[in-house]
Amino acid sequence: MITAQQIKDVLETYGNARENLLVILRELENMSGMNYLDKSVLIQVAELMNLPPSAIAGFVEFYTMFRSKPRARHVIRICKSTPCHTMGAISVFDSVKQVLGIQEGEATPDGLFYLERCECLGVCSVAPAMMVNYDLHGLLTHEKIVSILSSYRNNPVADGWGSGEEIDAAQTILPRTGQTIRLLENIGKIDPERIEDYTNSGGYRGIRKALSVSPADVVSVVKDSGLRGRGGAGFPAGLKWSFVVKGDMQKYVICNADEGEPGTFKDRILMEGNPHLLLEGMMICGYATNATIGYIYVRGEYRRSIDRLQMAIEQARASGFLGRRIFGSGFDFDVFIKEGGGAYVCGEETSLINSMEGFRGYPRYKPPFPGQAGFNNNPSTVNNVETLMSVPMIMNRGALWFKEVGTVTCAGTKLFCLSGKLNRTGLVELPMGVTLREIIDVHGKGILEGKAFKFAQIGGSAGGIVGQDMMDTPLDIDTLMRQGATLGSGVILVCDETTCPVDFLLHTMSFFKHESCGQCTPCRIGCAQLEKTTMNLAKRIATVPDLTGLKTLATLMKQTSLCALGQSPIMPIETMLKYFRKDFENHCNPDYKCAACDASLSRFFTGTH
Amino acid sequence: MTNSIREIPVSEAFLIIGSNTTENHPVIGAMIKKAVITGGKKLVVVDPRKIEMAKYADVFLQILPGTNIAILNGLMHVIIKEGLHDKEYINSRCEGFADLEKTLERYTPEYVADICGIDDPEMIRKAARILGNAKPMAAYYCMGITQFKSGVNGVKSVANLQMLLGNLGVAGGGVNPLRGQSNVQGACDMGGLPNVFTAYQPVTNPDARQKFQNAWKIPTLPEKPGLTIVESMNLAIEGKVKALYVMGENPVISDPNQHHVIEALKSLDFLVVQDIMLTETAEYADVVLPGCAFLEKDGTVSNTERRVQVMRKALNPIGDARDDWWIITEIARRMGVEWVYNSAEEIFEELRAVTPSYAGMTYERLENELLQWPCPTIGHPGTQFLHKDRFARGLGLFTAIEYTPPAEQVDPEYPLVLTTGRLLEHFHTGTMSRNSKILDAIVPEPYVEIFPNDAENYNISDGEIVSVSTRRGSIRLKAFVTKRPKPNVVFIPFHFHEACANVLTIDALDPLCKIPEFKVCACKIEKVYP
Amino acid sequence: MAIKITLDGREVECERGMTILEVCNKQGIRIPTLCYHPQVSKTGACRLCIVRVNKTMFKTACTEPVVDGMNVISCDDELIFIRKSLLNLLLLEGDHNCLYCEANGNCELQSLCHEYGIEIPPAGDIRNVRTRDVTSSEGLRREENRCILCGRCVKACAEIQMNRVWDFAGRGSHAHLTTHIQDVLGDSECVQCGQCVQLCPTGALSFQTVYGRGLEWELTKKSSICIYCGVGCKIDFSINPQGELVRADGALDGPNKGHLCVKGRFGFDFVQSPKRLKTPLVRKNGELVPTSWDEALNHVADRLKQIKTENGSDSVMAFTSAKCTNEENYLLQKFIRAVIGTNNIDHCARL
Repeated sequence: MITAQQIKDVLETYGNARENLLVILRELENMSGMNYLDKSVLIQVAELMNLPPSAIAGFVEFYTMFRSKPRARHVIRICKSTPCHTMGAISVFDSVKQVLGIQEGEATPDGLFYLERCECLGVCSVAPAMMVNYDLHGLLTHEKIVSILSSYRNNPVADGWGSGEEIDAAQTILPRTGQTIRLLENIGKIDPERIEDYTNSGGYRGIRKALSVSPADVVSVVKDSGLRGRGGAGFPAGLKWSFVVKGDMQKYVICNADEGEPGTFKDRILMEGNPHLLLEGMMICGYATNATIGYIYVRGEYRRSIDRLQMAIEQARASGFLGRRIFGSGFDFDVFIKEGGGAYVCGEETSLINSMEGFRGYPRYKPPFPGQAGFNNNPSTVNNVETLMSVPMIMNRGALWFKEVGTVTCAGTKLFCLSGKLNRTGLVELPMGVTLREIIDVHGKGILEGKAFKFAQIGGSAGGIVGQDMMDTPLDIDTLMRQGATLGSGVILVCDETTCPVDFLLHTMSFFKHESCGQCTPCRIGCAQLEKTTMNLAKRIATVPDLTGLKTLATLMKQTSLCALGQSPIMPIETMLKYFRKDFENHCNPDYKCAACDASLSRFFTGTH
Repeated sequence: MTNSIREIPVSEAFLIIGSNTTENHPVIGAMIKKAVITGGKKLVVVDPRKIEMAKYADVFLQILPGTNIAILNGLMHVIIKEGLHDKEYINSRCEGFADLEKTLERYTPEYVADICGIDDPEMIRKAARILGNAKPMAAYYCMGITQFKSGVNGVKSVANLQMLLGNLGVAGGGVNPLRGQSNVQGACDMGGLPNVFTAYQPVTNPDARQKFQNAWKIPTLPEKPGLTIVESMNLAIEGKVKALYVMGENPVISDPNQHHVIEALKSLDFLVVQDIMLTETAEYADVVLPGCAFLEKDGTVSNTERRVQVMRKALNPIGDARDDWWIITEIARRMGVEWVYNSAEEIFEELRAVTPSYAGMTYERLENELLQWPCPTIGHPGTQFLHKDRFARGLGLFTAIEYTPPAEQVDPEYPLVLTTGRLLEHFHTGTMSRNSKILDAIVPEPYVEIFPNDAENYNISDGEIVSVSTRRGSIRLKAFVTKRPKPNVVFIPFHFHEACANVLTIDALDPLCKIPEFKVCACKIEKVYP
Repeated sequence: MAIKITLDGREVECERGMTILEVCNKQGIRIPTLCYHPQVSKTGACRLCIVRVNKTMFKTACTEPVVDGMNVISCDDELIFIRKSLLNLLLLEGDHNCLYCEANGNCELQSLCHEYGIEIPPAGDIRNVRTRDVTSSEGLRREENRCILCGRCVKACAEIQMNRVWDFAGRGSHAHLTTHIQDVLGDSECVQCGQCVQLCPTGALSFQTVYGRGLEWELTKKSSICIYCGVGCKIDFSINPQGELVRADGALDGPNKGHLCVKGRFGFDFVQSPKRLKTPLVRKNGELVPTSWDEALNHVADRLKQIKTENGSDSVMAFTSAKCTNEENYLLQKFIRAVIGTNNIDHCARL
């Protein structure tokens, strides 16, 4: 039981402003020993923070990391997103249930383990994966699960540092031969926990250079470089910076590190492997947009990223790189971390801002855009980790250099996250415009077990799939968009001939249903309806007109949803039906046999979820 | 109110003193809350109880009941010491500043904190700075300022503060008393007071009398001001007041010192009560006349911001109930005068002719326009706030006022301070709210609020029956142990006839306006053993 | 600053900063809305007000500011299809059977379904059973299966009453309302001002007073001014065919701007209480007994005349009332001054 004094102490530590609510609750949940927030604790927090209890109740129910019922000492979260599903998440689920003798939503009698499922954990190259409290474990097999769980019985620490070594940043990067290494250059070479390593390898030169010219000049350089947002939408970074409202008000740089798109793990590798590069990118952005405060919103599951970034921030402050008049200039800048709580939608920039302010991660209608009224209604520039990390090298080496690789409209390199049925999975850095064939054959070393390629999901669950016909299409933002797909965050999830498209789509729709925030009508109800229809297909009780129904509904959602989440399901649905209509029609026959769907229905989509 | 409700968003800061706004004027309370919470406006709350508004206050000064003047003087002391007063305004629009300044000299925060029971004098400085630095600042008060034997001085002190800060005669500023009854403003405007005709024209003024004699076509009108309610009760007991005509009032519950009131009513030769129900007062009547309830009649009412609105009949009168104006007219006719009125509107036409501030109002205008008096002529847009450019008397007069303690002090026999007031869910004597099912269900019974430490001292637990006694009487009710009152202060809502708070209250009066000191007296509390 | 947009092919002048919806309202063009309410801040969640902007874009009229040269189509076949589809989704999500809903006839969802020609309920059922809490609060009923999650109640409480009792909880299709920490209304900090009910577009929130006592089309509306405190809130009363007061709504044109407190909302039973006096009473042999108006009035007139004559005018006192109208107060003071001949008149201004 948490005492009133403990609650007061936590509030004292983090400050009782609403914007600290998430981290306060996370701390209290950790302190509970049973990974939950008791109602009495919530009431006390509400009172001490002068917040309505209803707001706290609504907040706790929004973020999946929180529970108001006791769980156990260790919460096991098994990833159910498409990359892990493709690699056998169902078997992981079965193994854990068998080893512990519990079902989902249950605790072992000794109060040690509680079983849940979750969406993408960002370790997709080592799928299937699970998280025990904050420790991540990949490449799971039955034997490995037995050994992992027994190690927790003996050593009950789970703070992110007990993750398996397969999670390590440097290990995730595929052999560099054939890659165009820019962003990844220092990862594995420098110690991310030592600022000297970073400065000795040329770090913090970009910001110095930026400070020697005017903010407008910095914006021009970034504009000239053609750098486009790497989070998924591909909006030109320099242009975004130039849209930030001018004036005396406080302005912010916000780094979107809520990497949640299933199949994406690049930002985690970047933050864990080279945290100072992100700080430097944010400083430059801050200088260019006249912002003096930066926030990094990191998803709560990325414990190690949070710890490394915090370490980097403290070192940078100690070195005088953050704080007042940095590098002897007249420019003040400091960076703070905000944590997420398990909500994919918070990757949407306005949801992210609401979440930073201590609200439910509901997206805001736009306009106003964050550049006009963002965090605390002040102008805010929101950029992805990869985008911001690209900035120092642009400052150092110039816009022209940056454009030397890539396509005409999409300059530079792109990180691709390889997962699924490949002989080699991991992170690669390749010029924009690289082909899928090159990625699969050269870097992925072909399809696992010599099976045939069926499709690749590009850009994550919110992206579409591409088939054999697009093997030689240059992968950049605009080309894919023209083809009805999206480059998104750089997910390359490869599926082989054994994959059932209906089963795959069911997991994708289940993801959307789980992650819809519920604010706007089309997405809230539409996502549930899409999952239901797809489930009917998997159950082979749907009819052919239901296929049109899926497209009609997803089109409506595309036209009317408040944010990108609800606008996305059309992409997987449309591309799936384009390539595999026959498979879908087959599933409309009650006598059709599908082992994959049967497995998902009987072993995974059971009970309530 | 000198100013208007719709100016709340314009105010940069608020002083709420002696008003439990969110419970007694909830709609205005919510508007001020919105200005503070959403608009980021500053708020200083002064009250003996930790009322809801205190939660949103930048500074909350929890004073002992009856020490308003001390705290106001203290705030003004700091404002002058720190040079936050509006010198130009004071020079050009006011007089009497030197006297005020001299009187305020000794009201240092330390001295005042001691009188008011505030632990930290710094809080007074902080509050004064907030009030002094925000412009316009609006002062809102209610019976927590007026219901003292020093009530008039309390009001004058609020006015002093607002003149000192140049907040009178500007939008978003003002001295804003929140009127507690739907038409208490109108009853005053209409001359329902012993010393004035309509629009505050003094009965002692021969010109005013002449005007009304002409209008009413009678030879003379009495020039001596009449009696106030409490005075009339005393004279009834002395046998000097023989007949009492009560229209829509319930003095048995609403007036201080209930035993005294009942004695007075019993002493009368003749008591007429005109009301919608058989009230506790009507029980003593010789004749009871059933009037219409508000929804059964047409007429105008004037709200706290001087806005006059037309009410239209929504329901047919119950039984044989009649319009109050019809009843009065009928009695008058039977006493030999030729009164003919066919509608409320006809009466309004007559009254606006003798009431300068209402002269420009007609039913037609009132139903289509937002009109606040003074509205002297047809075509005048009404007055959003008073004292623009000049005060009624010309220059605003500062009144130097010394703090005087309440009439009754605590002593070993009566060691606690009793204060009374209203609840959100109930109203005045309960005739209306306690006869409304839902309101009565929410708060069905009386209680006394007592601070936890005090409760412990008297061995009282939450929900237990206690007796509360003063020199005037004793009542029994449930204890509600809460941190809302100040230690050593108990609070009783006065809506409940079964435990009538006014059995306990003192009938000490303000010498000028004769308001009773409801808000403070000495009491004791004892557990009742079954 | 004035700008020009093209609205349904017509050039229209409007102010910068206005939303498309505001311009349409001004132009008398009806746009369907559910989450929008003029008394609270914009939400943009129901998406029903979607209009076509510059030919290809769909924007919510309630949130989208007009810009110079914008081309807006308020309604076309595709927009009708979209709005109808959204309504169908809402119908799919909740229990929207008007037969047993007290908002029948006073439901914005119902009106829109009618307007957009929804003839049969959509197939399928993806409903999550939500809270039904109809007894815990003395004044309010909550039947959340009729809720469309527009958020107007949340904002009514947070932006008008400023109490923040309501909030959203859950997520996605499990989103729902909560008061306090998932407690019933009666156990929350709700002060029963009823503003959330007044703003609810469906029957999700309703008043206990209305339940079973008349449907919208049976109710007569009359406005009056609240009898309680001095704010002078204007109230729209609903009266059922039996003549009972069943509902009170804050009127927008009063000083209250649509708001009411718990007394204004629920404090009017007394008007129709069985305890109301229905005839004059006179005391005979120590008892108050019913009498005729004539007898009562004559008796009062005679006694007052007598006392005035025997003891002088100043032996008569009148208490007038802060509950009565200006006209009645005026008349009583005129009576006391002109007919009785004394200034002995006072009222409870000080009490």
